[in-house]
Amino acid sequence: MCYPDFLIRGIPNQEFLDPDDLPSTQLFHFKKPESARLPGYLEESINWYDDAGAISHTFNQTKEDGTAHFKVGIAILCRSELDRIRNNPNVRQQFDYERYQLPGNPYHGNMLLKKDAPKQLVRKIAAQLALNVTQIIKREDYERQ
Amino acid sequence: MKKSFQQTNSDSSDYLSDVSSCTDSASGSLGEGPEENYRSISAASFPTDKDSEYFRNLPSNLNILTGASDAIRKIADPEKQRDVVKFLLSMQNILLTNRFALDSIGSLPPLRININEDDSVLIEWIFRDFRIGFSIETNRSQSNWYLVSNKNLNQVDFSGLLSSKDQDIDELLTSIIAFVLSNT
Repeated sequence: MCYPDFLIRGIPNQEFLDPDDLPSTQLFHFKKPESARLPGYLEESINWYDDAGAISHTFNQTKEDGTAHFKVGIAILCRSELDRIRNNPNVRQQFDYERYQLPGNPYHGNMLLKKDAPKQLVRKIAAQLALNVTQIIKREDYERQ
Repeated sequence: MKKSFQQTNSDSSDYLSDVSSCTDSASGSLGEGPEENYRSISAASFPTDKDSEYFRNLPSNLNILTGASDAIRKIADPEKQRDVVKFLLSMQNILLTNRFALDSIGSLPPLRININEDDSVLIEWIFRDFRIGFSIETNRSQSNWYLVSNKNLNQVDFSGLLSSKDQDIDELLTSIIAFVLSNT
């Protein structure tokens, strides 16, 4: 499977940014129930930055009620950071990622975490991901362009 | 002396040499230790009075507990609330102990205290190049801490379970303050 160098995580609301515009660790917590498709795993959505269209696509994603899914903006990460976490011997195949295209979203993928991963590992991985966000693009800045 | 940071990153040897006074592991977990002190702690134990020793001795730019009282009140589970207060009191004491060294830093970001989606409480100290977190879990034996840094600080990666013993917590926090002093 071919992956681009960058990925995008949407920021749904202001609670996920601190006053200095640093992303909160909670932005990378795995909140959904166990995956029915991949038993034993939790998944959280990302969009792969295959081309510049991935950014506009993410900003244009809407919820069922038609409102913007990511009201505040997007966070961009290097895939190499996910690889570094994934390849850490202490993580031992408990964290991974995938491309999983959805109807209407060719960029879609998931970060994957073993459901039974120790809490201390889960919290630390989330902090590592948040710390290594390379860029935040706020919606107000994107729409001003 | 024991070590407080449990090494989980083979690239962190430089960092370890800087914290040679650290202790061996944050063994145990919240709730395993003696209960007598724990039971006497409540949200009201946390000082909000501006005349308290903490507020009198630390200038506002070093008061990392701004807003902590409001966050504590949002924690519905009384036992978890006590765990958080107990931890913050320890943090407060370590800050007071180190106040003269902290004076040289200038300012420190406040602790962020958030209730997670699973009702655990994350107490996090966010710096530009590193993050320190203390997660008070619903299953108290799983409460944990971490310290991670980015490339600017050699991508250190430490974590462990959070001890219930005051002395272990004090040693861990002392080591963490030493890291903050060295890297801020």
